[in-house]
Amino acid sequence: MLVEVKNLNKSYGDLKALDQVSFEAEKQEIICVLGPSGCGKTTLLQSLGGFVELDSGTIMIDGKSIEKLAAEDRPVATVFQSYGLFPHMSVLDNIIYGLKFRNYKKKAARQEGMVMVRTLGLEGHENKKVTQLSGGQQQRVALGRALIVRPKLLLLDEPFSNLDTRLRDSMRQELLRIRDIFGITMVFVTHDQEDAFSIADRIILMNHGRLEQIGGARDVYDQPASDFVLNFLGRTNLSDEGYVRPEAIRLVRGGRGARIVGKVFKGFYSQYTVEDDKGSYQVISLEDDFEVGQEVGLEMEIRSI
Amino acid sequence: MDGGRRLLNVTDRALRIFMAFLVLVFVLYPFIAVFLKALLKEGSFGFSEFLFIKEELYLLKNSLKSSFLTASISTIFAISLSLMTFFISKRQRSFLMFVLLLTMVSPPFIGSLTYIQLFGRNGFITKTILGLSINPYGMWGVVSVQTLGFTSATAMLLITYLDSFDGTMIEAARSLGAKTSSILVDIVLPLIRPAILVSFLLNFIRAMADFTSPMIIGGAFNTLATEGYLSIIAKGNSPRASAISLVLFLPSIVVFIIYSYYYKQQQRASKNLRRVSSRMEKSGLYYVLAFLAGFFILWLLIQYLAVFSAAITDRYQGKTFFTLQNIKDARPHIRDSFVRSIGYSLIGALVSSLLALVLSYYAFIRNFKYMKVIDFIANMPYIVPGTFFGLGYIFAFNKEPLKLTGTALIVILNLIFRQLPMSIRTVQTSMGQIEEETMASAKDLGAHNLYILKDLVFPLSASGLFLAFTNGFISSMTTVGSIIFLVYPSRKLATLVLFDLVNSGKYKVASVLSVFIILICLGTSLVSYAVYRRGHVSRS
Repeated sequence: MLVEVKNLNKSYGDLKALDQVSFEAEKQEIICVLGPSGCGKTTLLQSLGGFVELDSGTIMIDGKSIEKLAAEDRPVATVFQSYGLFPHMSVLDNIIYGLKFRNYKKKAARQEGMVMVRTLGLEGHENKKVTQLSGGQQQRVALGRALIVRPKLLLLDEPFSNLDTRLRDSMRQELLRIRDIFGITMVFVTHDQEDAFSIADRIILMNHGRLEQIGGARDVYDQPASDFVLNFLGRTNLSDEGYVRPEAIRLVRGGRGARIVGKVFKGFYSQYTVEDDKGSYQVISLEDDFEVGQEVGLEMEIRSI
Repeated sequence: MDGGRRLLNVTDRALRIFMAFLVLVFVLYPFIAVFLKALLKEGSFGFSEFLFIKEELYLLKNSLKSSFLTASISTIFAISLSLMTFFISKRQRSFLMFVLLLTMVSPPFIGSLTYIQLFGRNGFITKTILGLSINPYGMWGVVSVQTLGFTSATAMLLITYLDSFDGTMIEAARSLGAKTSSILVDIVLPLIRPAILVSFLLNFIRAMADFTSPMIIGGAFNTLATEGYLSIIAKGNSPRASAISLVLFLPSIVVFIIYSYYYKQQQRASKNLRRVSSRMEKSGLYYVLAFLAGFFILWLLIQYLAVFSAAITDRYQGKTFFTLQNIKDARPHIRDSFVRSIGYSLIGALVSSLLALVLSYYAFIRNFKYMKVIDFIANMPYIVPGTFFGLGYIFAFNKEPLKLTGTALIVILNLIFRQLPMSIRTVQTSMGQIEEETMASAKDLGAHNLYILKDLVFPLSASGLFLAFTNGFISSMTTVGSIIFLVYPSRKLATLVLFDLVNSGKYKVASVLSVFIILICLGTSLVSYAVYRRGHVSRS
């Protein structure tokens, strides 16, 4: 295992930001930390980066423990949410800044920097000030600046939160491409489950400083380990017997026992509210021709956690 | 339009015109008066008064040399002090701010006073401890006293600037492997360069304009500022004094323009920033900073220790003992002057913050073009030497129809308008936080502009007004330069009495007065800070 994190604890006064958090990551794996605001995900990222002092716990990278090292001495680089680019430097100078501390000659550093500029599709911008770039370009500079120091682990803090929806999609693809080119391991933090489902190999769900579940996208969605995970990912109909996802209920035309009481047209799908003698359900269906008042049958499998 | 509405409109316009009138008469006119006095001789223009620059070149040289040294040294100290905020804990930061505040609430020549007591011919350090008898008077004395006096204000300015610094950059640099020294040299210093430049220039013009330090401890070292002061007080030569004031005034215009430019930039930059309280590792350059900052703080504390102990001790036959005699001796000097000082300062601060509110309202909420010009004029006294503004008042108001010289009114007016620029800045900061929609909706509901001023702008700017009032009070309590020519000899203010005492060598009594002024101002600012914070907390 490239990254081994064991029993991390961190409290701010009475608030437990990290509570016995442990996980591992393989080389080239993309791990996404998902959770509501205040769940401790940013603290987790900062403690990996060396910006938060842990109360206890160990962090091993490549078999060496790094939790006592200062941020600047860890084989870890971070891409910050607000990027933290140096506004008084050019794009190229931003990208090669870290090489200064790795005994590069200026010329070699610039060459290396230009390779990175090309890899990230920033040709022609290398001499601009970073303040002249668009949000997506700034994001690339922040990525390039972190990647050029060849960290073993790359941390990303809400990397797409400042980008619009379309740009977000292309940056997700970009991130996968970068993983393949550089063979790098990434841990990234987000509150957006679409980020997580799109690119993560495994997802960590956090709540109140605790790691609730870790697994592939399908695992955590189909087999949630706790009520929190169930409710945080997607929507759910809850009953005494268990739960059923809205898209897992099938409306049976000509069936009996349930009645449509509400309908919202959502574009490529429709959302129905259906009642039977046990209660009411939200149902998502691609068929949009059921009408309010219509009697239908329900096919579903109630699951339990 | 009904009658009530019409009355409101007339009042609105009258208020506006009255504001403009006040600023033109009490700011612009005195400025012009100084120019006329220096340039106009028997009805024709000429530059003969400026010959002193050539004939007494040493004055200009002395001023430039000592001011350059003061500005450089105090800027270096200010940088060290402000950068320490990246390394210290919250509690240490509070202590630092308190020490800096201490100098801000002290009368300007307290440095000279303690300098003599510590390093003078009979100084505690030179004579008693080291057994030396050296001549402490001269340029280096002036530079050291000015450095001690000016550094705090610029350190505060830099700290405010650093507070708007995006901490992510520091974390980013660290995550790329940068150590403390590299972060400071590559990232922090280049980014605060504008603020450093402004600090240097502000200190430079303050040093150029300072006449009290060279007067008290310059000895044979004369500067333009002392010469300007003496021209009036000793020689009664007002054209010469005006010419000197103009020479001191010119560099301050340049500084004013640069300062305004960066001030606006900084305000823009400090929006939408994530505050990260990331601390840096204590290594490399940190030790240099810590040494300089520590040295400065120690020096400052020794100074205040000296003043406080001088106020309550005396020496007899080589022995130092505790006494209340100094305080008793100070009584006749304190009684009237303090009441007057406090009274004038209260009125001055109150009126100046209210004027700042009305002026800013018309210039920046109602956006009257000509009020922006008035706002610019009102800001002019910000960095002119105090003596310049004082001289302007003498020349402008010594004849009918506005014969005010010798009255209490001229002193209070001078305090008001000298303070106005600072009040405007403070009030505008809090006024800028009022949302346009709030005012638009009041209008939508039928409120007249005057009601918007009274019911919305006034209460919503309350915290700014309060701060402006406190700052105005403190700086009026400690000011010397602008009022020294205006005050009638039998109606002196506390700082002027203190200046006389220092000049005539009554250091013990002077220490008592200094302590009282410090305590009043410190008490005021601590109380108001507490009130301000409570108000802030309960609102948010």
